[in-house]
Amino acid sequence: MGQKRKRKSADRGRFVFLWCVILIALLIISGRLVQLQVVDAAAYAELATEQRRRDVPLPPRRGTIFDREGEPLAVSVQAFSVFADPRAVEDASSTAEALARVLGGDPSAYGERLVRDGGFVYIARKVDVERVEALRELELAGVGFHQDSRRVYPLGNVACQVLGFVGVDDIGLAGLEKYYDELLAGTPGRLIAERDPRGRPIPGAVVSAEEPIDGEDVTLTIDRDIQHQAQLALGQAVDKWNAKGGNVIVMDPDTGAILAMASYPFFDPNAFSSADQTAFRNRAITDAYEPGSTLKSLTTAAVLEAGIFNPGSMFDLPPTIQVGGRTIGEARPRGFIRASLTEIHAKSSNVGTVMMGTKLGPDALYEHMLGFGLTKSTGIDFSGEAVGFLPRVSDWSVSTLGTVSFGQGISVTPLQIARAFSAIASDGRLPNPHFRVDAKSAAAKRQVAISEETAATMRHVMASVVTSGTGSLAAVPGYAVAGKTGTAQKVKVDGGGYDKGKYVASFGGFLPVNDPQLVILVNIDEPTGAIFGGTVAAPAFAQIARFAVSHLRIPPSGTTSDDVTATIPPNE
Amino acid sequence: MSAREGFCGGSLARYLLLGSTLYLLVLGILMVYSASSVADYLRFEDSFYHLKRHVAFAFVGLLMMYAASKVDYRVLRKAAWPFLGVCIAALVAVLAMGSMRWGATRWLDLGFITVQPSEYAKLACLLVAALSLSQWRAGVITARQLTIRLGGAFAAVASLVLFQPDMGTTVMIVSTLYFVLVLGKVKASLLAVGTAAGVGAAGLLMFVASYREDRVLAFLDPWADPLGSGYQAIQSMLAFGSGGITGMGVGMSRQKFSFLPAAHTDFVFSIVGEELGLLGSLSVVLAFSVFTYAGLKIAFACKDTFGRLVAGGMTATIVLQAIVNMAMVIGLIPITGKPLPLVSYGGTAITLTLLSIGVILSVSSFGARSQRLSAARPRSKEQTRASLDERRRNSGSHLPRVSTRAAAVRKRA
Repeated sequence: MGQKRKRKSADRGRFVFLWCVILIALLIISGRLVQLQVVDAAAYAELATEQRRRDVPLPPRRGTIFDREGEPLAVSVQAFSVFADPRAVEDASSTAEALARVLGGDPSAYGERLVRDGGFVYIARKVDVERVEALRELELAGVGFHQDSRRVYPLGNVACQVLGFVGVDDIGLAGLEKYYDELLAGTPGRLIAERDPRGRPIPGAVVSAEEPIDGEDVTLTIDRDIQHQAQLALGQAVDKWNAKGGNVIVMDPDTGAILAMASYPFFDPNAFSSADQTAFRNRAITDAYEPGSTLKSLTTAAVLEAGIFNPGSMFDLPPTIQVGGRTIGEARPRGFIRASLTEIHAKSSNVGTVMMGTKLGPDALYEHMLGFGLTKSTGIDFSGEAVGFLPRVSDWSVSTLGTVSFGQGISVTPLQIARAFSAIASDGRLPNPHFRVDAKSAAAKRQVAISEETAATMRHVMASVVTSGTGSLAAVPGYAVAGKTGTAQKVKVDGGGYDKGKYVASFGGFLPVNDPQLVILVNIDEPTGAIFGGTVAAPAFAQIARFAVSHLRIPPSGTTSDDVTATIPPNE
Repeated sequence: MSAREGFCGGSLARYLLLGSTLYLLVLGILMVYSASSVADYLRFEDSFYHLKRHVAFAFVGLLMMYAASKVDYRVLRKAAWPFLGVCIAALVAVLAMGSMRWGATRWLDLGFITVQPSEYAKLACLLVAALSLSQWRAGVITARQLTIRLGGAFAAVASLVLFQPDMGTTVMIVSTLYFVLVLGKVKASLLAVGTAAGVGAAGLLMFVASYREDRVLAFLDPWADPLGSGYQAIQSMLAFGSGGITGMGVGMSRQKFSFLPAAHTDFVFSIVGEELGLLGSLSVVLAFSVFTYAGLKIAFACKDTFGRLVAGGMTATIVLQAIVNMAMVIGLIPITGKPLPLVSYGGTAITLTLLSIGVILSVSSFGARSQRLSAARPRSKEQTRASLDERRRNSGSHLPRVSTRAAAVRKRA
């Protein structure tokens, strides 16, 4: 029996040995499990959460820009960005060819991106839905899409400088897109979701979602039809006179609402990246120029406001006049004549205007120029406004008084001129120019430039420019038109004197004279063949005005400009 | 003692063995479904693709287990050598024309099914070892014959498997042999030498093939290349960490969303840890320890050496592989690509494992009757051997043939 016990204990020994070996292994495993799942669990869990958590920005819809009639000028439409994960691309060259077939472009450019290091590379951004659908059907390995939006300007170059454009990240880069970017942009939301390694969402694992707040829509005072017509007329004038460029402003004189504004050349904001960058400037606001004769209206208004003369006051005009040793003559040389204030203005006489300015004196002239808002910001809702330049009276030389009175030695923006003309066209107060219908600046107090009576008188003085002066080509059948031509010599780029043969031809005016509802300013830069505002710019003015009055259903005056001039008090 | 006469190791061992097996099997079905459904849906648009197959294999496996438990395991004595022959032929075929997957040639495509001959070869080696050792103990063959037979069989199979290359299975085959030798009462000093040699050889082999070296390096510091060689190990640890103590809930694994490769096969234990937490993962460890206890209990209670070695060896094969798999997924050993028995997806593995358990149950059923059956055999020579065997047991464990002769002389005298 001792042998038997010995056998049993030997068996037991082996049993216990094997059992222990396995038990120890299992205990080690248990210990490690406790370490992983209790001791270090939080750290591992955090790493696991981190690797699948994706913070996805939810882009807000950018607000639409409408014109005054609610027609869209700038809209954001759904688009997609196409990206690739080079590691997942199976056949780079055939994929690149497929991409080039659908998206256009050079296959080798895509191919180069498809073999790049890393897990993410953009193939194309802001691709329209149709082409993305076509790509999706190809089921290219490693090519993915994510939602994006694309800014579309349905009217192409219409109001291009006013609207501006947005960059690839939907940030306004120019124009009102830039000025109202904060408003239009909205607030992005974010989706914190869990994704698998290939970016597919893990069902039911959205951690949190913050909805984006869409951008606000912006309604402009721009009228797309008038804008279109203004650009058409401007472009034709520039072409006709083989000019370097030009700009146009159409504005409501009472409210300062801008109905149209453009600079030539135009560009298509849908493809701004391939456009000439110099076309981006909204020169009517951002560029100051020497206004020339259009400024004579302001000098004349100042003289009338000061009560020194009335429209019928007669002047004996020599062929030239000396101002501080400088001889000033007329654009078209003439002999001695006798002319009324109205005639001086209508014929755009330099000599007569200098005489009026001299009578007024430097301080009063300076004060009135400031009163018309020159060299001050108009406060328009647009970035990069220029203010122009007029030296302080103390810095005026002997000749400055003379030259300023007919628009030399002073620089202004086209908008400032249009605004000053608006004061004459309304009740003598400067309107607040604005693009957005409910722009804050529009509600600001209007500065008084001249009295209501002077404004009314001045309107008739300006009407004779069209009826019997230099601006006859600005006439609009059925409507009484008032305005002023301008033919300004361009200052040399280096600032030393004037550039011979380079002019800015202008016509600024308003209609109907009795109750002006439109102020229109046309500037043509460096026309060739003809230089006079009455020849070059006035027809464009008339073209725009004719369209605008009909489009805005402004009733005809029932009188022609001739009838209006008849109401001017007869010359003494 | 009546229970012992009915079932060796007692009916409790039988129930524990069956209970732990069924627990692991059911858990496996649940976890394979959870781990594979997402990937299946994306790939086949059928989230039940792997589940259906897994359940089918489990069902077939259970039938095989039942059938095996009803057949006297002794029939395996005759089958051992021919089975090994077939397996070696299959292994040669694998090397010659097997299908390559994941950088290794381990599978034989039979058209309707792909089989992994190395898994069968492992069982064949076990049977041959059990047979030879029992024959040696019975004095039918000498120690030298034993050494040649075991050495030849294991060397052939291990080298063929190593060529695939399949380090994991090779190690499993060698460890099983070791286990059987311990059960077979081979001298402790010899086993110690064998242990040392085995560990040394394993270490050497690890640095022979570069892919193994990578695995070893990735094991030593998985964070050195978290997106490359260390990826699986890290993702597995993240799964366990995410599970914490109570787990994320059944079906709530996040790591199965393509983060953890082979989630339904080699890394199913990670999904258990993530979804069922520490409680779930420890329940698996516990189930395997119960399984081991029951299996060893049955083995040691068996009066027939062959039965004891077969039952013990099969228990060891299953448990050792479970240990290797679990240690691998929790980062204790380099990644070897061994599934978790009874839980992981895999047709060959699950049917063979259940078949092996059926054999263990057969040992528990028939092992207690070993004496009577031997006595019933007509040939006297067999009887003599049986009694010699009895005497050998009495004399304790030792190798030499001399003592056998001495015992025989003593008996005659």
